[in-house]
Amino acid sequence: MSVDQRAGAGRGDGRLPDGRHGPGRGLTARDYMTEQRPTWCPGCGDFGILAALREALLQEGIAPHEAVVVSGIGCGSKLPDYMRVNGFMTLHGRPLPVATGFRLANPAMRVIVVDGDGDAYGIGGNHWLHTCRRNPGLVHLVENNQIYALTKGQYSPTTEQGTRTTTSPEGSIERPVNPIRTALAAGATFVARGFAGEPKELARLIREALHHRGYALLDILQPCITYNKVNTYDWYAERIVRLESEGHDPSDFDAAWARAGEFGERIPVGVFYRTEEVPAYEERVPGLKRGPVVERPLDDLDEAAFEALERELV
Amino acid sequence: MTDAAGGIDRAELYRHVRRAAALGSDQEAASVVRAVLRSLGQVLPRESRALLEGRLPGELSAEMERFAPPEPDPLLDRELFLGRLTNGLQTEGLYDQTLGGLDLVSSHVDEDAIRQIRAVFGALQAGLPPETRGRLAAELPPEVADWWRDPA
Repeated sequence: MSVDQRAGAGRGDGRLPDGRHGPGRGLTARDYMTEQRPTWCPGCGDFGILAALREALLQEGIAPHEAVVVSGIGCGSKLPDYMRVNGFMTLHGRPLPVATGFRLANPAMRVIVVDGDGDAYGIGGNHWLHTCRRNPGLVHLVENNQIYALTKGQYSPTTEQGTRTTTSPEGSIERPVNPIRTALAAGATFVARGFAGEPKELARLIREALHHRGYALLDILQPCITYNKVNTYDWYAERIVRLESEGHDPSDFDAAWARAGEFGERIPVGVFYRTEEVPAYEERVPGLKRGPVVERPLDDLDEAAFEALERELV
Repeated sequence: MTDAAGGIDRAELYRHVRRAAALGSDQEAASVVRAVLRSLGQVLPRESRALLEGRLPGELSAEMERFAPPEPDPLLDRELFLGRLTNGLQTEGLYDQTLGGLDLVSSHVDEDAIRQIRAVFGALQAGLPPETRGRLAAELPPEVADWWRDPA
């Protein structure tokens, strides 16, 4: 048996509750599955995120051809391989601009970005900040395991200060990024946090994000069983509190900012902030007033129009 | 394993798990037992948990309730069940075992976790009526139910 066969043997896909039916359109969980078996480590939190994303699409009745999953580089960014939807694995840190392009070309497509904390908040941090303020209609799932796992356990932008990793044997000296507060400060219109160990609740949050008008950030706390021996399933389970059950009002920015500062003995999950009053980026792009690019005829630009464009630009 | 009232003796439980899972100490076995009980608590309905908890020493039945949700999460699968065990296992045995994005040490770590889970299942099933075993098997995630049906 090869390494690849062994790594995926018996794991994940074939034994999921694949008979689960969605509310309509005759879809089942199997419709979102591929023959690929995940190469994630046994017990990885990415499995919970994969299950939750499939469930959310199923419950929303979004057919595989109506969604695209765009990823970067990292363990969790392998996810498009394990879902039968449109997929695009981009460069490290670059899924957000590529996904924005998808959305501009075809606003009817449900565009979901899946990447890790290093990809999103580190290498892709610049794209992330500007995506927050632009507000394109994307659902951004950040698999936040507080470590660079695929490259063997270097500390990441969200690693807690003092954590020993392969690149910080005496403890990380950097203060971690607070993704929730950073997104709020950058103008994000939907900011939430979930936990990979509670896939049903996570699926509910993804569904809320799918209903949002613009950019929706869902920071997902995800145990890395191999390189993070601190932030384990039990560590999170002991600390997680639900914003919803504590009376948090997600339309209250100041309250969201205050709750976003909590990360220690209590870790709030749920929707911190949401406003539907900001138009999505694709609603404001002048070039799209004639309709989505994907719906325009291929011969839209005849010779006269091309020459006019040439005169204008050259 | 069980006392006259059908309850599970804690020391016997740990000894069985230590032996069946080839662990180094009863302390290690106790840690494994608690982790498996926490995972069981998350996937079994309240009534089924009660069937097991009634036979466990008080502190271990409390462990099963520790993170038990009001209703089991139907999306919890074998990976999330064994995750809290693999998280505690040695996954960085050698310097760099990477091959094509796979870490050879962590890729195989579920073998140890499954052996430990089957050992705990073996101890929990001692003295349990066949119909109760069958009922619990039907409520576990698919592959976890296979381990339950084939305990060590």
